[in-house]
Amino acid sequence: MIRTTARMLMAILRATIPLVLLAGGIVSLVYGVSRHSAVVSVEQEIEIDLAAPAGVAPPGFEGAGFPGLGPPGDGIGPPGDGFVDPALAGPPPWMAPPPELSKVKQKVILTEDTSELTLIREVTFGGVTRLSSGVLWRTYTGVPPSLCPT
Amino acid sequence: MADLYRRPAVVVPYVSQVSPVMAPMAKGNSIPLSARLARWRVWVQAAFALVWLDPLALRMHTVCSPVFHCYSCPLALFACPIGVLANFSALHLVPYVALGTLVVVGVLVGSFICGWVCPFGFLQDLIGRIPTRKFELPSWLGYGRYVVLASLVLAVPYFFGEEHPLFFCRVCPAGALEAALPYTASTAIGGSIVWPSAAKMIIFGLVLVAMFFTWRPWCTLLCPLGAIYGLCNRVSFLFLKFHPERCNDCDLCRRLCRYHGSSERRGDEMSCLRCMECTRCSAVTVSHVFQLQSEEERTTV
Repeated sequence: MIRTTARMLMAILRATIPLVLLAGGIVSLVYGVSRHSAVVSVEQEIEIDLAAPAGVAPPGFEGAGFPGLGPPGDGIGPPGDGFVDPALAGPPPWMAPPPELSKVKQKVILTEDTSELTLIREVTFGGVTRLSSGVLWRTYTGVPPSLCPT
Repeated sequence: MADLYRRPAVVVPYVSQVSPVMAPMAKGNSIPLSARLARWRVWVQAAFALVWLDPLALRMHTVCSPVFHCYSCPLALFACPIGVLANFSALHLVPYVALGTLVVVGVLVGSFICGWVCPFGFLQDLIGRIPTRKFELPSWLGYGRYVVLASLVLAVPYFFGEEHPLFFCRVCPAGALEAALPYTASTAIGGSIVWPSAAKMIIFGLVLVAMFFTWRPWCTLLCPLGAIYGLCNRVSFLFLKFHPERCNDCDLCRRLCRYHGSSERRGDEMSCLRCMECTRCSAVTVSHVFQLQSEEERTTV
């Protein structure tokens, strides 16, 4: 009985190192799958809408002679024939509908928190590199390459 | 002592031809299960190769496989752990998934992966069956695997990045065979041929020629994955156990070993690929750490 117990203890002792290593491997695997990530910078081209701000009277706008609305005229008096008060001819320019939006493409640098599983896939085709500054950089935009660069 | 461990000049070409002659030399009478399984090894290797070649085109490249198979291969199911280690070293990141995979598999079965599962080893075994004279290389050359692991897989990527010409993937023969050559062929069909790097192709050519004249030259001399599993051999749950009380110095175990792993008759020898051919000798058996045994029986460590 004692001998059997001793042999069992010896077997357990022999198995201790493999068991510890196995546990460490499993922990590493689980941590890598579920927790580990890295910040990867990526340059992306985005479209920005450019337009003049609407709803604000442009500076220098001058109306039909009223204070603040136009140049000083001859004061009070009926207008002559054919005179059209520009203030009544239509909406002032600052009330007109906003001009057409112009789209401008601009490159910006975004950062993404990338999981290790995604990183594994990325390195299979050289999708991530490390710059001399230490920044992890995605080497492509859009469709990833199909082959690694080596 | 030197004579005792002197190896034959030519490694026995095929075990089954020798077994009837050699069997009486061993003291055991019945063929153990491991030895019977060893006869099916080539089929097990073929079955695993079929898995790694991704017949269903799943391309699960977020997962590391435990074998040496280039992930740029158009027929690769998983990511290569050595490629991931090298690339993560270049990124200065710890590859927890790859390390975890290698440690778990290595601790469970050690280099059984090399002998039974790895597709690149299987290819070398197939080429090795071509009847050419096989030369035996000095066993100390096996330490080259650790040099490759420490330098080309870890140090060079870490200090010089993946652009360095000695970055492991740039010289990997498996990458040359499984990725570069198919890519070159596809570009040639397309009309504008893109040649792979000269260094990669030269190394692949050398390894390919060596496959004809020695068993598994890549695995036994240079494979960094084999180096990792070789280290795990010392602590794995499954291991090959040598029973000195059954040994009559017939040299059968060393004659059966194509890969020179049992040069010291130690089943946990780091260069052992665990093909289990040597278990045809009753002095070598497959064992596990939970097996109850007396200390004098356990002589593998």
